[in-house]
Amino acid sequence: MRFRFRGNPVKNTCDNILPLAKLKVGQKGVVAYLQTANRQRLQKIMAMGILPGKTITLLQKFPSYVFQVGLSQFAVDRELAEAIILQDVDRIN
Amino acid sequence: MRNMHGTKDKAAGDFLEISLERIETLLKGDYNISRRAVALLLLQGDDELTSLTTATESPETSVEIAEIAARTKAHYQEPLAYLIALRRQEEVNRIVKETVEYRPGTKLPLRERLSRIMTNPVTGTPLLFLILYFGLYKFVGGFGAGTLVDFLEIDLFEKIVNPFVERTFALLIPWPVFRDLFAGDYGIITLGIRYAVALILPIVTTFFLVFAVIEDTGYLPRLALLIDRIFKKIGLTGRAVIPIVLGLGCGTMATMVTRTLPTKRERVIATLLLALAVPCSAQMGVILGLLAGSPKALLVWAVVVITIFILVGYFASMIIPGDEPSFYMEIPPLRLPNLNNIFTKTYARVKWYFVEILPMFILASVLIWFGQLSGLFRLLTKVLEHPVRWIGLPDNTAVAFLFGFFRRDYGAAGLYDLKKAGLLSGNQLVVACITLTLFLPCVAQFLMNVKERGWKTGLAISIFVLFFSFSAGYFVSQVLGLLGVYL
Repeated sequence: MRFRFRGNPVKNTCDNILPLAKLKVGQKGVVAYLQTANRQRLQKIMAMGILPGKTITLLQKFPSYVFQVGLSQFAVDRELAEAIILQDVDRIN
Repeated sequence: MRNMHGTKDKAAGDFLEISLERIETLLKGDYNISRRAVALLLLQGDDELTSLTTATESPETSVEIAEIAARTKAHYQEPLAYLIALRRQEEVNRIVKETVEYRPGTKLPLRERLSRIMTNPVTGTPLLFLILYFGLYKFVGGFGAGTLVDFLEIDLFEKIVNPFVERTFALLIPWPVFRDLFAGDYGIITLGIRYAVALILPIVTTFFLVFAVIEDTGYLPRLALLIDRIFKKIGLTGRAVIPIVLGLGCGTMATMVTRTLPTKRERVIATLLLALAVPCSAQMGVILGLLAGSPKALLVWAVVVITIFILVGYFASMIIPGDEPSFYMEIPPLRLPNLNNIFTKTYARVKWYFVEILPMFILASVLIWFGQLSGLFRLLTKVLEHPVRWIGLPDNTAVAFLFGFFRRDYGAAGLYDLKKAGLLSGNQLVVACITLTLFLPCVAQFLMNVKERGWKTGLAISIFVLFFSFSAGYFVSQVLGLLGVYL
């Protein structure tokens, strides 16, 4: 079974939709939806307060993915970073 | 308010609201929390609350509530827990927008730059070694196990306490057999309390002090993210650094802390590694003392123990069934530790440790006294002499191993006495240290293994550790011999 949870309706589909894992360090994006086959993973992501509409900035990719959401920072592994799908990914600032 | 749903979702949103209101009016019992909260939990399928309402409300009401929940669930394609989290987030955003003003500075603050240095592998790895070198090697090994132990052992016990105790008991107890219980080579005061106070106390105290500082700065989550990829290879996640690093202090306490790991598989692997390849501070202090004269010997010991840690973890993760764990962790801001907290925390841990071990040391002294008196120890020592000889050690190290089962550090401390007497060569010392590091955990850790993991797993881990430690000792002594290495 595969879950795909929509939040904000995606306005423009070619507007840089990327999983968090594919971002470059320093890039920002808005969470569009969470995509994972694993319910436990989904729950962990939600527990970090990562929900559609939240802005995420990627701070580091290796050895783990580190990102800023609101005033908090989190570290996750590749599998979780693949499950967080972002839209409106900007250019490196 | 920003609407996060499209028009279709908005109509659907009302469905959730209507269901909530209907459940709220149905509820008659008193739950100490608002009906709204109860209804929300029921819709999210909370087991505890569902059984509580089923017991409190009439059967018809329970059935009706279950029907509403089922219909609401069927109405959405997403899980209700997710939708409710979204709604909650919307509300939080609205409140925050109205009440909080936040202007981030343009420059990265110092603590943020320091944090980046810690989490970047290029700068973070040398920093980790610096922390290990100064925190563990210099402070715990050098100051705790060196300066403090020397002072307490030699100046306090050997010069003042032991002669006094021996004189006093010589006057008090005319029978040498009973005098030995308190004041002989293995007496309660001259050995048990001496080891506990003069050897273990300073080492453990300095370790817990360093650990508290590291813990309170917020370094551990940063170490966790740095090490996650490596720990994934051994079936753990970065989260496991906390019990493993704590295991460098006290394996018993660390085994208890494996509870914080999310899956059973991770808990079993962490328990196994703590029992086998993570030396506790008391042991490490004594081992650092034993091998201090020879950096090469220390290197061989460290390489062998770390290799075994990784290999055993790797094979354990292959064998033990279960899902691959996932890693997620909040990275709190770095903070300057509060001295008061550090001391309170260290005091509480040392106290816990001491209350735990002092009776164990005294019991060990009594058992050793009884074992020697009855000839039982002679027998067990004879049995242990075979594997000990097998790994190329002199027979009298068997005593250290036997005592090592009562407490690993106790055994290591026994080796200390052997080395002082000049009975061990360089190679023998390394092999003995490796075997003793891997050897069965102390009685307290064994009991904790059984308590946390159950009889079957706890016992299986112990038997594995027993055989593995001697096999590894044999292997190392053979390899050193074949290579013609003399340390």
